[in-house]
Amino acid sequence: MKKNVLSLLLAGIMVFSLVACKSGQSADSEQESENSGNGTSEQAAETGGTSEGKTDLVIIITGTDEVCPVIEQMVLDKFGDKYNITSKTWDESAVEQTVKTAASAGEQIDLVQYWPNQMNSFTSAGLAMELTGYMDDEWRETFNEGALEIGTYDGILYNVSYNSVYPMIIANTDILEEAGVTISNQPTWDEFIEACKQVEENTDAYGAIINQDWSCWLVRNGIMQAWADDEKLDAFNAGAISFEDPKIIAQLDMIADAFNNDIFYPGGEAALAVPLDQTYAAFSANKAAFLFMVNTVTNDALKSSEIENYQIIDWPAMGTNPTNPLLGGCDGYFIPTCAQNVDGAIELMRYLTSPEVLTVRAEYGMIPTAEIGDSENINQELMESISRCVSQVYPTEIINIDADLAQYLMYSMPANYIYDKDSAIEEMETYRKNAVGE
Amino acid sequence: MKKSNSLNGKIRFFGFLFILPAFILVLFTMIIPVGWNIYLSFQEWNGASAMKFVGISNYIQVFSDKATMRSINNSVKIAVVATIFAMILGVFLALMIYKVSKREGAFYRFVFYSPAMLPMTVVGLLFTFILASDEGLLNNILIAIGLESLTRPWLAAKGTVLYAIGFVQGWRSSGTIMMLVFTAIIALPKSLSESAELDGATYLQEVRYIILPLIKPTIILSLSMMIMWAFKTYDIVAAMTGGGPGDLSKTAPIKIIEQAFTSNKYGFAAAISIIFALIVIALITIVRKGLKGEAYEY
Repeated sequence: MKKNVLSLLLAGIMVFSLVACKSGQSADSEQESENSGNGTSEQAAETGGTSEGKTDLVIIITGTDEVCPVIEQMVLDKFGDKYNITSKTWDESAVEQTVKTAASAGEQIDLVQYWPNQMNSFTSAGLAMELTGYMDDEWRETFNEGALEIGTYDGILYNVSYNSVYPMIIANTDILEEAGVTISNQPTWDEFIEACKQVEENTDAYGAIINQDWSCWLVRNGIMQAWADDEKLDAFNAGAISFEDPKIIAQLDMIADAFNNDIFYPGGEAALAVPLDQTYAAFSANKAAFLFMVNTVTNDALKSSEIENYQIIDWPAMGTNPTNPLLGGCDGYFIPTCAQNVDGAIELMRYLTSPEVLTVRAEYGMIPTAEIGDSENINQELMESISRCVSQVYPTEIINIDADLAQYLMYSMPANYIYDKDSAIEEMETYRKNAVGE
Repeated sequence: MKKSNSLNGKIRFFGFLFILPAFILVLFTMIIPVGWNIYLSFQEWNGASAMKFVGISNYIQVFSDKATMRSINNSVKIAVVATIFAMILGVFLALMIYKVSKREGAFYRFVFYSPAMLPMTVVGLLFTFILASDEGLLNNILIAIGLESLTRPWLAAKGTVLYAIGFVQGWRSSGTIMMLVFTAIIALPKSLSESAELDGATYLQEVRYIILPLIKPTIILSLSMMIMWAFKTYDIVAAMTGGGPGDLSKTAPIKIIEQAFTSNKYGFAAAISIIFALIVIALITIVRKGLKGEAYEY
């Protein structure tokens, strides 16, 4: 009898503990929702709704850049009384997975930071909300010319940009001086390679460093600048021209030669696998003369590397197109279809693209795509040097035609081409043909 | 007879009650997801719109897609390297620790088991620094001892990246293998080793003729578990190389995630995962059948 009672008691305790765990989780998330309106970043509640008279708003906009917590606090100060704002950390490698998982599970995410020119994986699956109807004339007029085109697909606006982004180069002028090299702010690729070779001959440094995640820019820019005019470029971007075209092969060979000739630190195949923190460390240790960089994090890069004497150089022209189209795009915001507070998301989006917020971004060395206010804290000289090429940024790219091709060009090139040229061309050509239905 | 049946019934009932929480957990975390995955593998689904039944076309695509087969091949290579290294190192460490005194043995067991306590991502990040080409510890040690010719871009070169990942994974898992094998060794009757010693057998002979044959079931079990673990390469590969450079170290788990969440091909991703699981099951079955031999009672 005693044993039976004890057994029943044990079984009951186990079941009770399972139930108690679930109740504990619910209580925690309610507490977190309560706290989030008071200025802390927490995990989102499982479903949208209202509490304490405030509607929930779940956003993924806060990355690791220095300016992000500042912007987040501005948002919480402005809207904390109106909405229960839950801010999830924006992680480049996981944001897509996070949004798609939430969409499949019907979880609330109202506003997400994402690149307007890479929306095809969301638009093709119907996971991005159409914003055309929300973009009134008053709001539209605050944007720079062409800024909204980049987030427009088939005439429908899906993503609103706030920051202009393109790749450029920071040169360590101390090394250039030691090597006896001068280079213009807008060199050609041949001039750039020649400068790198001179650096390597006359100093202990390598010519250039590029982070493993950004080495794809070489290929994306190269194939963009392969064409003599924008008409041909548009045809290529639409998938009408084969990757086996000799012009494409020539550009890819040019890039492969740079790696094979040890232009990039630390030489050989190893140059394809240098993480971002190692690039900063190597650049600050004067191990290379040129650092490939994104314009919007130039400020952070200069602070991290502590380089005092530098020159901002535009991306070397890799072709002969007179317009010199440049790879680039913007940072922007979109609203996933799993959003449950669309009005709140639009209101927040308007605020995040307002002069009040964009001026703060400019103070941190970013290039806003809309109006900003006056501020003494904006480094005008740096701003001018990292915004020289904004007008060259081309609104379309071949990665827009297919998610598989985008994945391949962004994450597998140029390494796959350097390791196995024929196989890389074959794979890209297969993706292109699948995308255009050939 | 009635009382016996009633007692059996009560025992069964209470037994069922006790396993119910665990069964519910296994049902919702394993059985239902696996079943759903099998169902999904016969569908075409982009995560948002309705599913479309496509039969076995996803499976046909898996075998016809070179990139997918390459990723499965990479997974198998890493798993083989990791398993061989972990088993050899684990068994060797267990045999060495068995011979030291209790206090020393406890210390060594802690030291050799500690990598297994670290998360795989932490281990991966740690070895990214150790194996870095220029500032990495390994290459700098090789240069310092005059072996500069042996320096390599361990995580960037075609011939080394998969082996590097395999060794790291094997190193991390060797502690667990060591503990399993050590536990089996100390369970052996002392009389066997004493009589071997009296007969003039060396420790090497004792290991070869007594210890290894008697702990064979444990070794087979450890090997099966290690093969299973070795194929779970998402976290360590993501931390060390991200599947790069290019597709050099892209393994099946990374390919599955990419197909599902970037390419919106959930059905295709599910088909890859089913085939991958079948390969693992087949390998474990072959290994278990291959190593099955005589059983010893003692």
